[in-house]
Order: sequence, then structure tokens, then C-alpha cells
Amino acid sequence: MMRTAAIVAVLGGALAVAWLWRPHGSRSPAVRALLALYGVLGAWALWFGVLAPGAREPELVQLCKPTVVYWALATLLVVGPLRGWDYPAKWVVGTYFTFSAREWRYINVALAAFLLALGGLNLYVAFTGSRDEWEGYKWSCMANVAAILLLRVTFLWIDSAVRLARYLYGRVRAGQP
Amino acid sequence: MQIRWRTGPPQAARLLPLGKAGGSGEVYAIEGQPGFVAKVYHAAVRDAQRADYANKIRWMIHHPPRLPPIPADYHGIVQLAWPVGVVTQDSAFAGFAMDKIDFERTLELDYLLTRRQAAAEGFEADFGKLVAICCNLAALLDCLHARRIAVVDLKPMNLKVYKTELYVSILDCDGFRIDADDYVAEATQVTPEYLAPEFHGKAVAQPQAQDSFALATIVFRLLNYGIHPYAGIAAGRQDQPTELAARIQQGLYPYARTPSPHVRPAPASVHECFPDEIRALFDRAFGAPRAARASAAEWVAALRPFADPGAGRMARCAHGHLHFAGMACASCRRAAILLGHVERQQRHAARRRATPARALTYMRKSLRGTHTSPFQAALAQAQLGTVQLAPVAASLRHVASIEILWSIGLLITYWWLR
Repeated sequence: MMRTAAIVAVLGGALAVAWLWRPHGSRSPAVRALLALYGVLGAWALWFGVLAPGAREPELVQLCKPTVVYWALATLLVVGPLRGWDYPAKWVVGTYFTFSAREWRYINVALAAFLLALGGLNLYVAFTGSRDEWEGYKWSCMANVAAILLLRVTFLWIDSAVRLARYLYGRVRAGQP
Repeated sequence: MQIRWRTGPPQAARLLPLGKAGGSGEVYAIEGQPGFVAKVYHAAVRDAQRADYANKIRWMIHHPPRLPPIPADYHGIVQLAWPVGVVTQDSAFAGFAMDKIDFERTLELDYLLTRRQAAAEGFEADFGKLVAICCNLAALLDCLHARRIAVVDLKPMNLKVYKTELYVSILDCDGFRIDADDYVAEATQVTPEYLAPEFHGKAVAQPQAQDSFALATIVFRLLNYGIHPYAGIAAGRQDQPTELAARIQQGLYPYARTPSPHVRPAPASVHECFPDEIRALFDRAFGAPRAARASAAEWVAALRPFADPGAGRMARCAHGHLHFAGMACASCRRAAILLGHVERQQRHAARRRATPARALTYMRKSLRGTHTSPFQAALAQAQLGTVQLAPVAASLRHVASIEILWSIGLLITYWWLR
């Protein structure tokens, strides 16, 4: 109980901070779609993980979950530019890289193809391999999720922390509060 | 106890325990007979089995094989622990007497598979001595096969080597397979690591073919620093058994002149330094077809020129090692492999020790922006070709908000997949 309360408090606090500090102005529909996707996945996980602990997802649904994630993201990447949105790959990889529109288009297509292939591979492993092999593949999906986090940590968080540290150091050296 | 020698009347004998016991019996010294020892079967041996032993020993006493000749100046060499008398207790068969093998002058062939162990036993192994030992073992087997006698359970632990004369003794002769015109005795004992693939899970139908396989295995191990001919590394992603018996059954022999697509040689192997005629015999012994396996006589013919110091088939390298003439020195090759392995280990250890300090230096240079390597400098300044980091135009709060949302999104995905 205490653990759940702590998790809710941390997540709620983080969400509150994110809401308060959110950038104002118009947001890309790609971002809204991405947020909506996470909202659906979060609600789903919340239902089966917390609100209805006795309920079990059907076996078929469990096997298809990685495919759902990959293909939902791939759909977003394919549909977004067709509907005139920005390239969603920008938001997945990070808007901090400077690429031309043509380069973003290639990245977007490559990422979509990659995600489609991974989703297809999951179905192949799930329905032709053993349960252990599929479990292994599912863990590799989680590793991909961690890889995205690492990408952002490496190229954004460390960079921002170094810039902030240098900025604060400069202010202290200049005698500014 | 009484001993009935091959000729003459039975003699009363007093047996003195030596503390050496095997699966079927115990070996004793015979008082007043320093050149002989007696093996007395355990009391637990069943009557039918004891009767079989009695028949076999009596036949063996009267049919000793002709052994390879030994130079006249070599004294007391016993090549076979062959029965020479029947030991009885209260007129019932109890065991047999045999020539005594001098354990001071000999060492177990098993020790020769590890050079360090052989040196500890007072034997400085080199390829000249090892080839001579292999040749003498093959000659001994050839003599047995000529009398339709086979060892079957041929393995290094059953073999003794004379340290100076390099002749080989075979122990446990009462377990041999005999296929004479007037007598047949089966051999039931086998050792899976030396058992030919066709006899795994079956009776040994062709005992001489089994001996040829075991002989080839022993020769290979002696010449290749103890590496078993079926020890190797999987070449692909497919799992392979680790037990040698299963590897033999699957034919996972990686040392053939034509490399196997399934298995690679052990890194420390020096088989490439063996002459072609010996490698051909190994390939015939361990590769297909099995019918082509070389006999003991063929091994003698192949090894004899290398064992003969006057034949000039062995040469010395610049470091004084004896090696097969015309081939790379196996001792130098082995030393280089081991040295390379040690150096790699030392480099790895040094790198591991230096890692924390290097990480700290890297961090410090990142903070100061003083990287010296062009790659690191480019990375630090984010000027890798066309990929550049855009300056963060948004405020820190906005960046933090986006990243919090991202992290929560990834956490949700992770949770959902779980």
C-alpha cells in the first residue's frame, strides 16, 4: 500500500511539474497522437495491473503486445506526414538534432520500416517459437525502450547538465548570485 | 595360498598387501618372489564370474603372446601384466600371479598428457620421446592383435611408461578380449572417452577396430598436449554437447585436414605442426568412413621413422625443441599461444584497473571542454559531419517538462509490455 502511494506520489508530482513547465503555444499533432498512445497504453496497464488485479489478458493479447506497440508507433510515423503533420520521428529521436526536412523524411521512413519489421518479427517468434524464445524477444523489446531512454540521456540530459553546470560556474565566478 | 606356475608343482605362498585394489581384485606382493605380484579377486565376485576368470587365466598362462623385442641392455622391462601362475586358496581359484611392473621406473601414461605433471614425475617430455612411446604402444598392440587378442578398454590409466626406455606396459590383462580357435572370452569393460562411435550403447563387436580408435585417441592426446581429438569449439550457434562421449557419437572432430563446418579446434591445439602422414591417420581414425581406420601395424609403420633418431625425420628448432622435420615447431607454437593468452589477460587486467581513472579524466575534460583526440573533440563540440546538435532554444523548464513526459511515456510502455 505504502509502495503504491509512493509511486503515485512520485508520478503525480512529476506529471504536475511537467504540466506546470509545459511549453506554451501550438503543439504538433504528432506529439498529441504520441501522448494519446501513451495514455491508452497507460490506462490499459493501469486496469490490468492495479484496478483489476484478478483480471487476466487473453493469451493471444499477451503475445501480440509488442507488435501493438511497434505497429502503433509505425502507424503514427507513416500516417503523420501523410496528414500534413510534422515528422513524428523528430519527437521520437529528439528535436535537438539539426537535420534538413529531407533527412528527417528518410529517418522517419527508416524508423517506421524498422518498427514494422520488429512488430512482424514478434508475431513470427510468438507463433513459431517456444514460449521461452518469445519471452526473450519480449525482453529485447524492453531493451529497445531502454535504448531510446539512453539515446536521450546521452545526447540531451548530459549535455544539458554540462551546460547548466558551466553556466552556474560562470555566474559564481562573476560574483553573481 | 598356493601358486601353480606354468611348469612345476604348486608352491605355498605368503601374500603381502600392497594397498592397491581395483574393481575386481587386490594386488599383493609375493614373499620370496620379488619379480612377481599376485592379483586376488574380491570375495564378492560371483561364482560364475570367478569360473570365467579361472578359465581365462588358465588359457592365458599357456598362450602368452609374442611381444615386441627389447634391446638386450634393457633389463626388467615388463610390457604386459600377463598371468604366469594361478593363485588358489584351499584348492579353489583365487587369482593369478603376474610379472611385477617396477613403479619406480615407470609412470602412468595419463601424466604425460600434462607436461608439468610429467616433469613433476621426473620425465622431461619432448616430441621425440612421445613419438617413441606411441610407436612402442602401437607395436605392442600389433603383437596382441596378431594373436586375435584385443585390449578393448585401452586408456592412459591402464598404461605405464618406462621413463628411460620409453617402453609401455599394459595393465589389467585379465580384462582383454580373446578370440582364439580354442577359446573365446568377452571384454565388457569400456571407457566412453576412448570408445569408438559405432560401439556407444552397443557391445564392442569389432574389438580390434575399438583398439585402433583408442590407440589413435591416445596418440593424438600425447602429441597435442592432452587435447582430446573431439574437444573443440562450436563453429555456429547450435548447441553442442560438452561430454566427450556425446561428441564422439556426433563425430565432432575439428582437427581434420579439411576443416569441419560445425566445430573449430581448441585454440591451444598444435595439430597443424604434425606431418601429413600422421594427420592422415588421425583423419582416418576420427573421420568417416569408419572402415578406413588405421590398424596398429599401420601406426607402427607411420611412427617408426619419427621414433628412430637416425632416420632424420625429427629436427631441432632454434630454441632447442625437437619437432617434426619440415614442420613448424609445435613446442614454440604452443609457447606462443600460451604467451599470447597471458599477455591478453595482462592487458585486460591493466585496462580494467585504469578504467575508473580514465572515466574521471574523460568527465573532467568534458566539463572543461579540453578533449585532445579529434574524435572526442568533435563529439564534445557536437560537430560530427552533418549531424549537429541544435542549440537548446527552449527554456530549461520546457525541456524538463518534455523529458518528464518522455520518461513517463517510456515507463508506461515498459509497464505495459511487462
